[in-house]
Amino acid sequence: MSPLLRRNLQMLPGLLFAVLIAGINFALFPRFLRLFSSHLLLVMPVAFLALGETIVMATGEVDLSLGAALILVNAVSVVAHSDYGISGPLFLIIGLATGLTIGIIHGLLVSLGRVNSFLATVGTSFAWSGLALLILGEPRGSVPSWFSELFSTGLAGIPIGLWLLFGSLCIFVIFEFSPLAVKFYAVGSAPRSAFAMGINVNRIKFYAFLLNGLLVGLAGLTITGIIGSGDPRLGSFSTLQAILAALIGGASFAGGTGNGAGAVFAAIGLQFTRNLVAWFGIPHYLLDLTYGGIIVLLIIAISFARRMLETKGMKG
Amino acid sequence: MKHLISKERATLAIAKYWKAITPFGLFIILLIIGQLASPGFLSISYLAHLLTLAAPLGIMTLGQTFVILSGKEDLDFSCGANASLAIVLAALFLRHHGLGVVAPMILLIGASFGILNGIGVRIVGVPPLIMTFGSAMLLYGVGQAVTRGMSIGTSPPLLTHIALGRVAGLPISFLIWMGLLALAAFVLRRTIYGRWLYAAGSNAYATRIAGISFAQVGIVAYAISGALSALAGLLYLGRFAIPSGFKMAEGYTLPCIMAVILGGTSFSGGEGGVLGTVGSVLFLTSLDTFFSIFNIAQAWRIVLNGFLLVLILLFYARRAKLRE
Repeated sequence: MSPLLRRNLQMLPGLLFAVLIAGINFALFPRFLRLFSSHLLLVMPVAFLALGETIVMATGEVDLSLGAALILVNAVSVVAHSDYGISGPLFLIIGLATGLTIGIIHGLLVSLGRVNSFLATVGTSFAWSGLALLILGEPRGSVPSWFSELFSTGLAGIPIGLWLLFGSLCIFVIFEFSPLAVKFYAVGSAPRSAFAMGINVNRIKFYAFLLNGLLVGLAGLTITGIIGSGDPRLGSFSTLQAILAALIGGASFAGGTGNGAGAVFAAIGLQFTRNLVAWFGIPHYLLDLTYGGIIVLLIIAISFARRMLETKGMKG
Repeated sequence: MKHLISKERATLAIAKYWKAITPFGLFIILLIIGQLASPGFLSISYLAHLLTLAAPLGIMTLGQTFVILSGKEDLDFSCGANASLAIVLAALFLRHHGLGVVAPMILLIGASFGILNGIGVRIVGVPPLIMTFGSAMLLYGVGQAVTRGMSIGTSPPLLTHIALGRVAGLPISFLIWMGLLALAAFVLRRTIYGRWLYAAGSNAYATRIAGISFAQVGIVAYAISGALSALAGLLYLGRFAIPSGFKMAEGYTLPCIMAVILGGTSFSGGEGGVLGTVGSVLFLTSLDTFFSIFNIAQAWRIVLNGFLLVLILLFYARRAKLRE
């Protein structure tokens, strides 16, 4: 089996997971089909984050600041509109630029600073959420009217959720078939060998965080469009959700693997799982525990399965 | 020749201890800045207050030191969550039972969450930060489920006295911290477990070959961290008196990790100890008091803590170059 084919087969678990959960949703709650496009829209922020996390994890690093970065993008773009009257295309550029800036900072820390990305991004995650709290203060603000209209009516008669899903898959395909992708996976699976082969490992890691930052910007804009205002307390589980989706998509903490499309589908499955948990009428104070428990248990189970497979492969 | 050797030794000793001395230096610089910014800032009552405030964080860092020593990139990110849950559960249990029953129970619960972390990291093989990040989320979830978003229970007078009271002019909580510090230093330097811990941190493979259970040594370290975080939670309950949420100790997670790394314990494991951490705990706690003294928004405190961690990593925990 060629490596490219094998890498694309990693899409299957995520796809199966999404289809299965969507099927359960539909079987239990037939109204799910009618609301499908709006549910799909709700998925997209985490789907973008999962795609970004996959790219970063492919190079052997991790970004634990995704949730906080998402809030910061939301806060900056909402403040840009409400306090400084920016509407037009500049509104979109500011959101993306915020994400990119975050990505550049992470990239510089990891490539030039040579710090551990796990811990460094935990540190910056506090910085981002604190900054979001500082500039927003409280849930408030609004977005340009064309932007919120785009999210409620869609583009060219097709719901925006589908456009975004299509966009995220396009980003994945472009990434996967670009000459850069091979280098990303090489850097993740064997940094020293990659270095010896003349690949600039630090630069590739920087690119990974840059791309991740761009996707964070997209995710932030999407969630801003969905809620139509700013909220400094958004997305408590988005980081873990993105990591889990990346894991289901075949990524590993050791680096060198991962399939972005699989991660996007897995993110869809995870959000639909959240719908299920909410629909079962679990009291609000148990929601975090139930959903968080599902996420953490899945992360542990996948890590365990990977470890078993690896040791088996070594023996055989 | 003899002179040369002693000079070399002196340089080595300085190189070994400067990391432990730096945080004390930072602490003193901070006190001088405070005194200059608002004369009368530096007083005996401020220092005693500082020791009281620092004690729970100091106790938490002892356990964190064990975890960070125990392996490459090992870390307990759930310490603040564990303390937060201890606050909630202790307040709940103290409604019906005395402190003598509740305290051991809380420590046991904290230790068992620590053991779960240890199993996840060492047996299942989840990266430490992901495991403890996830378990922190779960612990907050448990706290939320227990409190249902309401405040429950209060601290009994005895606990408040332990957390805030003084004996012979010294805060009781500070004395507890110092006692545990001495115990931890003894365990690290004079017991076989201490040897194992340093061995596991320096070279996991060699440790296994030597017949020491790398997994068990690590799990015990996580259990110690869990129990000490829970103890810190008890002291926080005594200080806050009425717990007003399930994330009361969340803000201490980052300072706990920062204090240990700033105190000279290597993030790659097997190097460092508990003594250097004292200075950094005092430094970070007095930095914290600045925010209330000079009336700066709490959000700045979060931002500053985040950037401070990154700064500390840049100075203390850089990876080797690929070329080397």
